[in-house]
Amino acid sequence: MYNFHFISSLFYETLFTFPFPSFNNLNFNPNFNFMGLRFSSFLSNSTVSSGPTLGELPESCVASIIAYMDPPQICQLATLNRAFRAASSADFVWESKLPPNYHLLLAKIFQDFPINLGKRDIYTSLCRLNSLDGGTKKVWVDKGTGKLCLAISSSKGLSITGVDDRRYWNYIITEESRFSTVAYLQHTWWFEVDGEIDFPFPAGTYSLFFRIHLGRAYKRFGRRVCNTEHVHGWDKKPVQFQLWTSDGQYVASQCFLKEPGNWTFYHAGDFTVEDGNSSTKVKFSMTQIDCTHTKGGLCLDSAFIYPSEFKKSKAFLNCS
Amino acid sequence: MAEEKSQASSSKMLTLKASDGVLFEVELNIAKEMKTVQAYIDDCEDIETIPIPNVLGKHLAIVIEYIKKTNEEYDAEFEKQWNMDDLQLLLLAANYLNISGLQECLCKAIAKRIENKSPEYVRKVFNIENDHSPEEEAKLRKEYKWAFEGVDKD
Repeated sequence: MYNFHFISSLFYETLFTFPFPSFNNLNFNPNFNFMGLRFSSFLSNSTVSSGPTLGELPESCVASIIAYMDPPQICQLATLNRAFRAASSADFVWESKLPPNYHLLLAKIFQDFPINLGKRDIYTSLCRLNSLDGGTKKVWVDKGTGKLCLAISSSKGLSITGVDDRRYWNYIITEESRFSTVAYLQHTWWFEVDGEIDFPFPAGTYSLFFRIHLGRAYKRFGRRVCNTEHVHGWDKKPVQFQLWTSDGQYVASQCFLKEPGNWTFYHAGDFTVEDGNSSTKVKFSMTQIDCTHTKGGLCLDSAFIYPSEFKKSKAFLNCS
Repeated sequence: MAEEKSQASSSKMLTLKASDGVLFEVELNIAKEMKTVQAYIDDCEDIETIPIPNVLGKHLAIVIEYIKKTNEEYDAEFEKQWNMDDLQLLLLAANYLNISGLQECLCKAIAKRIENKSPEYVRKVFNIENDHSPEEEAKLRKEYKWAFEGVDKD
């Protein structure tokens, strides 16, 4: 720990006189201070700056200030000087950024988590794209907000009706997903995707989305090209979404899939977690079952669970 | 604490002497909010004048006024009056005098002023000298790389 000695403001015992402050009038004239500093730095020959510096504050004060910043800014300010660097790794600064149930998260995500890691390092570990359930899911804490996010892959993470039948579905390799493959639907009458997750979500409200792309994208000469020739059937009937939780929450909605050529997040529903100290089980489904017409030309990436406030703050979630 | 803390019946008066010689007469219960002063009183019971060698009269006046008036509304308006230099000196004063409420209020205020500003801005505004060696700085940037990469686009 880097200790700063308190630097006496006796250097303010200046070589000039200043008007006696009036105790009843606290709207202090800033020009006094400014002129005072200028004058004193003119007289002193030292190279040390004449104003008070945040660098002179005790490390505990610096830590108290930066605790109000978001994690990326705390890390940026660490480069300012040694006191800021030391303050930026203070446990109490990071404790307030971690999800309140981080002990449970560590136990669920990691097999052997070292017990005496500092809080900042715990935060760093949680912010990585951590794999869960044999790589079929990814879970991470959003760096800026400290909120938990989760993605469930269409490849063995979600249960897709008819996915093993290559006449209907196959997996294509892509760079446009957090997972290495996405599921591509040629055509089917029975479009059904089910999923479930059992996870200790920190208390809060969450939104579930399906990330979908109408059309098939690939690279030609390094540029992204999208083939929407085979997109069909999605304008006939809307897709139905349903969501259940183990504590009895249920929500259902529907919407038409649109916007070929772009990855779109379709909002399936919200659920609330009251208590982060226990595991929450969520089941969800997306269906469009109509035997009078087929639908196809769709890429299914994954299901995402994001904190509901991200619907407003994250631009990529604004379309659904 | 919404009302002023003075009580005519049991108010012993104490004198605080700022670094520039300015004297302040305050009630005991006000002075006790400054834990540093409280410790002084505990050590020497009969003391009447307590020296505050680290705080200028102008700042001590502000601190005393804060203790008398602090409440949510006052706090919200309080920090708006002061420029950066005063805020820092007030924080140094509050830290020395060990007044946790004022410290918190000032930390929040300073944090608000540097929120979302670049490190270069913070360095300039607060006159912070970089005492890292180039190797230390490089190591730091590497250590904190995770905070900047892979920001959630989609």
